[in-house]
Amino acid sequence: MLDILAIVLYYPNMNSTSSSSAGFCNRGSAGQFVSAILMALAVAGAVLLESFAKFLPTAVKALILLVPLGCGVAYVHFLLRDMRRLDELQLRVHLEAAAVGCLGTFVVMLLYPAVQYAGFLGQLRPVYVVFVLIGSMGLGYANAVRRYK
Amino acid sequence: MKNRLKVLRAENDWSQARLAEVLGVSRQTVNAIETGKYDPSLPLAFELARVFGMRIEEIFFSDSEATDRMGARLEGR
Repeated sequence: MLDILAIVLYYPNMNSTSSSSAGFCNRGSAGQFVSAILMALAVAGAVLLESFAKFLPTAVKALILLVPLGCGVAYVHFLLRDMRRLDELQLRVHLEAAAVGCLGTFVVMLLYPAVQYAGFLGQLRPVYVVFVLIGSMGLGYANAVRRYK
Repeated sequence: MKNRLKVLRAENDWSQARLAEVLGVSRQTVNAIETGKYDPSLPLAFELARVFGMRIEEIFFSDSEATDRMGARLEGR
């Protein structure tokens, strides 16, 4: 989900440049986009299968749950490959966006216990962290898009 | 840091896209350098100097140097 958000918000606005072919510009690689979509679909599929197909043998379930991992590895591979093709300003903007995402999540997670203790929020569930991460990364990438014009 | 990139580009009648292509960076990067929003790395500054056939210090100069130049120009009037 995060990957798709990042691609939708960020990559259409960020042309990568290849040092081997100076000046050649292309939009975010298709490999990265496809692997991100596949990973999101695989995660959703695995979660659905895991919750509905309780009759499946454990080994089969484990195999199903490993599919998103493969897509994730492919995504990381394409992401790194594309990042190596970014020029210096693109890398800097990218890094700042990622920092906003990670540090935003960190700050919220630090504050959460205090807010929870005050009685404003309930027990922290792992899924909340994902939503906070999506929100803060969305902000970071939206800022990156604004700056990179 | 200030620079004369826009002037040099205009003298050569190059678009930002053309210069970006020659440098192997994106047009946005050239624009950010021209507007002073981004200071290029040393390798990119060297590449810029090579493209225009100049020395780095003939293209880039510090803010105080820019103020001095402006002052000298005004005194000359």
